[in-house]
Amino acid sequence: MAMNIPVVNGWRNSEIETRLRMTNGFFYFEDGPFQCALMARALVSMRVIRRTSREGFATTVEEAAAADSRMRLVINGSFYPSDPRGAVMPSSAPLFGNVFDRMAGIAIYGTKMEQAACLYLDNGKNPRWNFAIGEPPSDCTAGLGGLIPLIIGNVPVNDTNRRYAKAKQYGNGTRFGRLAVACDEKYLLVMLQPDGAKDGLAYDRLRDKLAGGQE
Amino acid sequence: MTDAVLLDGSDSVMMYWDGVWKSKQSARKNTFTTIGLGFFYAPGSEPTTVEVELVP
Repeated sequence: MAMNIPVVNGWRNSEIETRLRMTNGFFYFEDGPFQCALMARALVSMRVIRRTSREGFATTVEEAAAADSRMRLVINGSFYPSDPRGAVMPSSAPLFGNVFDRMAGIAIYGTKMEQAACLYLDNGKNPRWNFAIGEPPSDCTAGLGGLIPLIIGNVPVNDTNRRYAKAKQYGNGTRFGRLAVACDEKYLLVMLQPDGAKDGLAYDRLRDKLAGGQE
Repeated sequence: MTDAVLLDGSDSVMMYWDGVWKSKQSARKNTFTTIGLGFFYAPGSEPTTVEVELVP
């Protein structure tokens, strides 16, 4: 059932807290066109899902989820500097940014540019999430570089960031599919705007929505 | 939110939640994408279930 719980205003209310408890820390809801997965940050771990054969990525996803009963959510990841048509082998698909997964032994070095990273570090004592400008370190538990920054360290990104500005030039329409990963001190939020959404948001308004503006 | 980033967008976006496809990629991107992210219960955080023997 679709729920119209605003991500910005009031989402940190008692209802959300209750639903997170009822759903053991992983809560899915819809907010207008947005598909949202809200997670209790302290309960969540992250890993890289990598396609290693010519199968479609959907098959990779389904098999990875079926193989791990703890898995609750899978989303797509990296950007690609080239976009060839037809099936490609993973080895011939260059990436923006670096990709690391310590447990899976994944270490991919992509092309560099001014960009953001999302990474998870678990040293067994104090797991933490980190969003930053730059590349993930090779010793992180799981990390993805080459991403578009929206908010870093509680500061909304603007057009002075080349990656953000270039992304807007590439396609700033309100119907573009967009996929954000966001966090604060308690929650991790994945928010997906479907490609072709009628009431979607362009970059600035999506950033402002996540930062706490009115939408 | 204090931090947020965007992953690959357009017709690349997909979400697989609890064994159900909420959004799927275009057929072309399905053949091209090689990297995704999985979110799961951290070790020791998964909910526990207690098996109870039912007495007729």
